[in-house]
Amino acid sequence: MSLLACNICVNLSAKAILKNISVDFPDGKLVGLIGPNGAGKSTLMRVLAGLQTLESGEIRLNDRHIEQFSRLELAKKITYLPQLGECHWPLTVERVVMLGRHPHSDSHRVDPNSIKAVQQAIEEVDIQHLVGRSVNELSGGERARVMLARALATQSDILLADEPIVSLDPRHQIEVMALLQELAHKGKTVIVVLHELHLAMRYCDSLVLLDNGEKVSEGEPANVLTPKNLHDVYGVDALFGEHQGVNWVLPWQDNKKGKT
Amino acid sequence: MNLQKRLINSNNTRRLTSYLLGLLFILMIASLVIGDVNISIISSLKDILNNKSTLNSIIFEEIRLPRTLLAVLIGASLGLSGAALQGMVRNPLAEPGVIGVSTSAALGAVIVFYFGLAAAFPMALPLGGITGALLAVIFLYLLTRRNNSMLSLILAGVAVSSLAAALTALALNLSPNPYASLEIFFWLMGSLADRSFSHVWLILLPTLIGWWLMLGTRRDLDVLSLGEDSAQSLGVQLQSLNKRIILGVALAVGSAVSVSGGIGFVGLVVPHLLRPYVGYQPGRLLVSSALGGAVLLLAADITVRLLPTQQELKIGVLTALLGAPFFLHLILKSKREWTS
Amino acid sequence: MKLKRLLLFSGFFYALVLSANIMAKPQRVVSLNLCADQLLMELLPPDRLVGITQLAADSGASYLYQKAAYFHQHSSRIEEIMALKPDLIIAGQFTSQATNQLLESLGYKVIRLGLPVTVKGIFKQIKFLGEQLDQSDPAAELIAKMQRELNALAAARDRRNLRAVVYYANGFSAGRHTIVNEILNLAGFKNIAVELNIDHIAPLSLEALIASNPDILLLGRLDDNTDSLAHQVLRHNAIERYTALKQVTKIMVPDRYWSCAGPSSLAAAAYLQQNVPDSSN
Repeated sequence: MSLLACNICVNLSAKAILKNISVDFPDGKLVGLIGPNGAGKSTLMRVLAGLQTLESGEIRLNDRHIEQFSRLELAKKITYLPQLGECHWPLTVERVVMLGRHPHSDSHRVDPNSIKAVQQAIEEVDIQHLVGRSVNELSGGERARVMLARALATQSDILLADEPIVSLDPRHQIEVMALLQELAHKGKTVIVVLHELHLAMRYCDSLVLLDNGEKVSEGEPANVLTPKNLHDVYGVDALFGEHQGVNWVLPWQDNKKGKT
Repeated sequence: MNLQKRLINSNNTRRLTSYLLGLLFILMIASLVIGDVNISIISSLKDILNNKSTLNSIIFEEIRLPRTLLAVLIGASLGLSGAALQGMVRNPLAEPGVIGVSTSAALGAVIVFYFGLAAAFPMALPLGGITGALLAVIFLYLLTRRNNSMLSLILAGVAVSSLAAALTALALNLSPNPYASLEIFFWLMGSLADRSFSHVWLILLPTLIGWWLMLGTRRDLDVLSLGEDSAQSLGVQLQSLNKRIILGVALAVGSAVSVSGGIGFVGLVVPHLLRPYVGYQPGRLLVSSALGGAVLLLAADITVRLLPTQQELKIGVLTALLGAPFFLHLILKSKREWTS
Repeated sequence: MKLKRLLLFSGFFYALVLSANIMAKPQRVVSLNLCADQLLMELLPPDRLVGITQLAADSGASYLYQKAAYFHQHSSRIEEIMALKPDLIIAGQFTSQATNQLLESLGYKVIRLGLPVTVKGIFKQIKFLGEQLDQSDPAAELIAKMQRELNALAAARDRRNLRAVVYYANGFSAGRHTIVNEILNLAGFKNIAVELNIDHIAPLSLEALIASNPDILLLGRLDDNTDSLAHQVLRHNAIERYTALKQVTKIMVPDRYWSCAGPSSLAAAAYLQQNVPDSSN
């Protein structure tokens, strides 16, 4: 299922946040959305989820305008995982994951399919040991994984995850990125906002680089994460290398310091 | 399998519901039996079934039954409204009394009642209460949209309450009836004494519509735990959810206050006590809180009837004695969130 | 010298007598209380009673509301009362205490009237007022007139020993030591509140009211505008149904008949006698 953003412009309190952004998100790919703070990544994610009013432009899902879908139809196709996985009440882990099934169930009854989906999602993000605990007692990283499981339990075609690994330890960062890559390669469209450039380089099929509301670069990770882009957009100089045929990148120093 | 059990787990809720229903039934019987005069309930029922008017049947039918039914209806409305408001603004302190909805409803009812509108057109009384409540809920909802913190909700509630109470006092003083100004206590504290069946009929329809509107949001409220963006992306029609709860609270609380005065803290205490038993799910809390509210108010009403005070204690005095410490406890518990 | 002294002395004596005379005969009396209004309007002409309360003109609360039109009504605010330059102020024993005390501390003479609960007490109060106002003759006339009314009441006394109960706004009833009890007895009725051991004005529950099985139910209410919660209980369906079932005589008594103890009390008893059907029960 493909998602297409055409000439998206968004203003928030008279300030242009997104300036004429067009991106094609093909299915079966893990796409990383990168850029410095305030580049407009999270706003673009909300746009793709249909949560943001647009100044102009449109989002097309399978060649249909996104506004032609009802909220519920859309919820079955697109899952959105916001940046801070908040939960206002101390629900148990499995109940939170179960909320991901909301678009598919039309009663308070729990159907076997949903239980299977919840079980699978819990296993995929490796949180079996957290079942039965209240989400408010969990660490930030644990809660982020519960929220990811919630997003996976919906079993939608498109997953939008805003910084899903930001508070995770290295092992779980790698595990989650590998999981997202695997899901994408099974046919899901996965769009993920990342600051971890090394993981973006290693796991994403393509990257979209935003800066100041504009799309600066798009394409294969090695073509986007170039010394020039990192220097101009992020203001860092990075180290590059290759390990067993895979490229890696390591942001190293502030480019202004490098100059002086 | 373990997970399936945990997810289905409706036994717990069902057990809670049946406990509350059983308790409510016992209290209703008690409420019909307890009074200033000893009457035989059995012979009253016999008289009523035989369509015979006797002293017993009149006391049973015209005094105790409407009072019992009003306690159940109004208690359920207050418990349900508290739980629904808390789910909507995701804040355990949201309660019709605390945030000034009850006082505003009282203002609406007072204006209608003391200036002859209710005498000309009885439904004007609940409509006045509903209008007052609606204005307050909308105001507080808009406020929490801008700044959803404990502090702003409570302070705004204090402001709305004080303003509505002052305007109520003003309206009562301007009323042509010399007794009116003495009746502010009823409107601010609430009472079920000497209400009659006409009051039950007045509020029945708006109350039931209010309940229906609020109960219809059960599943969506659960999802709203995750915040508005997540809820919308999971298919929740946020606007319709908010509209249903705002209108539902206004209908249920507005009509309740118009016949009983403002009874505080029921919607705070009951959801707080029951939340652990429904796994903190705001949607599942609704039905339990409605039952719990009815149980609490009925128990409080029986208590004020049994207390040996010369004049019957206002029921809101009792619920406030019970509820205010809870309120304080909740505030202290959520101290961390104050600065948010 | 001697003459001069005598003159001076006699002048002083004359002044003393004059001032005593003025003190004994108050010329500018102001009333601060509805019940004081009623008695003072009977005893004083408008040029000596220079202020009564606004409530005195209220047909719901005041028995002499028509007569009140001939007197000046004040707002009960202290500055307005002082502007009336009273030489005597009559207040109630339980009403407007703060005003009474302030007026006294400003040097005004304030007499506080209690609430008599018997006809004897009423007579005593009228006599006392007559002395204070130097109007003993009108007071005696008033007492004589009331005595004639009492005789008429006794002649028309209902001999069936009917049991009556009073129900006021907010569900209060009047017991043993109240003027209402005296009124009921004058009319020839037994006060059920006394059976129920109510001594003064006290709440009576709706259930107890109905269960007391009265022959006559006296509902206190204002003539018009009864849109208050206080009065709603008087229209409770339980009362409607019970009185219909037992054919209880229901009499609405305007508050003006028994809001005070005085000539109105006898009128109240007459009003009750007139309103009870002869064939009750």
